[in-house]
Amino acid sequence: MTALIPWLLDPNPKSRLQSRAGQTFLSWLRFRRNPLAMIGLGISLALILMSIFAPLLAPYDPIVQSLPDRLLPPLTPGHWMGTDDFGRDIFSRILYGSRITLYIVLLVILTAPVVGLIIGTVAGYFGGWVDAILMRITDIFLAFPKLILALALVAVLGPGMVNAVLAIAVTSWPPYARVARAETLTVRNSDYIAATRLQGASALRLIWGHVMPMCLPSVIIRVTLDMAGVILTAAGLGFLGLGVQPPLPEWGLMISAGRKFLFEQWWVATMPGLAIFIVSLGFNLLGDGLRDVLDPRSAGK
Amino acid sequence: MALIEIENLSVIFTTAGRKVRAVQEVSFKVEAKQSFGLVGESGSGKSTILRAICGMAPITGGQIRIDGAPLPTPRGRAFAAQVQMVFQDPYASLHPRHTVDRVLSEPLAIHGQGRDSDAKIEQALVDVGLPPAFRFRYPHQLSGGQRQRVAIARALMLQPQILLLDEPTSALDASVQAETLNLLSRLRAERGLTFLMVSHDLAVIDHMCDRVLVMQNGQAVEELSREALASAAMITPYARALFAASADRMLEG
Repeated sequence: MTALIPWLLDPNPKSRLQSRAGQTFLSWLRFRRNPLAMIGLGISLALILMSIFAPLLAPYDPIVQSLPDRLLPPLTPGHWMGTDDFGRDIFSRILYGSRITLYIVLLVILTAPVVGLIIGTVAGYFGGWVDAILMRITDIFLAFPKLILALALVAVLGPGMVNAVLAIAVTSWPPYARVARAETLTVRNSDYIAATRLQGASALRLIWGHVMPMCLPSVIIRVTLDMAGVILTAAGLGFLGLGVQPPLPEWGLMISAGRKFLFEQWWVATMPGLAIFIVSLGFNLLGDGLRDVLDPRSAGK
Repeated sequence: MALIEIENLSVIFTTAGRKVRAVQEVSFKVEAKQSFGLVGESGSGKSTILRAICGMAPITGGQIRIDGAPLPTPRGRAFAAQVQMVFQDPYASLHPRHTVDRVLSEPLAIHGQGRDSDAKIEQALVDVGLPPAFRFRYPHQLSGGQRQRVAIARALMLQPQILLLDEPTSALDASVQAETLNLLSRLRAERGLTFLMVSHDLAVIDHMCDRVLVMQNGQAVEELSREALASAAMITPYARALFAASADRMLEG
């Protein structure tokens, strides 16, 4: 360990691997200076660990009902977050629900930003009619309110987790395309792009190797800031009964179920609400921290 | 036959419906292994000529021939292997997120010459007077002069015959300017390169070039040999005025 840090911080690295590892380490040092970002990272890691170890951590099965124990208040021995109207332990359900939340978040991360990045960079790089066509399509998607479009899509595709993810992905790529295109327009006429083009580089090489690395930081930052929105949209779809179906312990669905007795048994809706709140906050803080590390305008200072 | 022949070249940009005649009917020839200078004030169209050769500005009239052959559009890889350019601002011409290693290996990868790229890159760094330890640095870890050396190394990676130099030293401070110019002169002598160099500074041109074309408002004013420049034998008043403006510095050097 003691030999590793000087190796990472060597200003004259000996190999590609060392140089890349060193840069990553420097970014990590910058990131670590921001305490709020570290809290965000902690929350995100906690979410991941929760979902991996849910079966070990959960004291009860999240689906099996136990009517004698229904609607127990929080801090009851054995049910410290209380139970819901079917006598299921809310803490166990939140733990298992983190798996669904993480699954939705990961699927959306793997689809929407990738599509947006490709469309945005291609439109920005080529300009002209390619730009006009791709951006008008983007505008059409942007013109609809996100949740309404997602609702319409789910209504057509039928309710369910995969369809909810698909609907969220389809409605959330246009902002990434916009961001990527704006970033592409600022770099496409730069000398370093001209120099590489002058060396005979193809459009694919330029977009992939030169334009995309410049767009990636702003897209990654937007993704983490949007994660809260994705979780809320998924919860909203669940709340309306169009996302994940009962008896799966999805957080939005749990809030929806608790709505009926919000005034008498407030904990049924409040506990999953708090979980959504904390995870959304975590992703937002993480995004803020990443902005400081990844923003090309702050790099190198 | 001259290596670069430019015949009645015109470049007209259309912006917001207005036509800007950046270059009007300019002709000149550059012999192989010669160093040719284009000089003039800002907006005289000298950089536009370089950009037209590289396909970054539209050729509205006339013709550019390299080695007797008209240029293909788009320029393509064969052109890239023959003609390379060094840009004015070394802070803008290197990708901020690529290491020196990546910058120098890219042309080899494009042209399928990736074999023993390690040795080639280290040799290229040594050739431009940079220590091989700089190989994995990012541009922001280099000074302006060092960046310009990297840019020169990149332009030479494909071993071109012709180097287009767009005010290669105007963004550098005076001492670094001289070093960079000496480096360019040395590389030209060693490799038998042909230079087409743009500058607004006659002192730089006098130091580097065998022949000079003075330009004003997109038009060629006067072509001078080095001897004519040294003995101040200009014919046109504009060339004379330009010469007078930088004469004191030329005499010092």
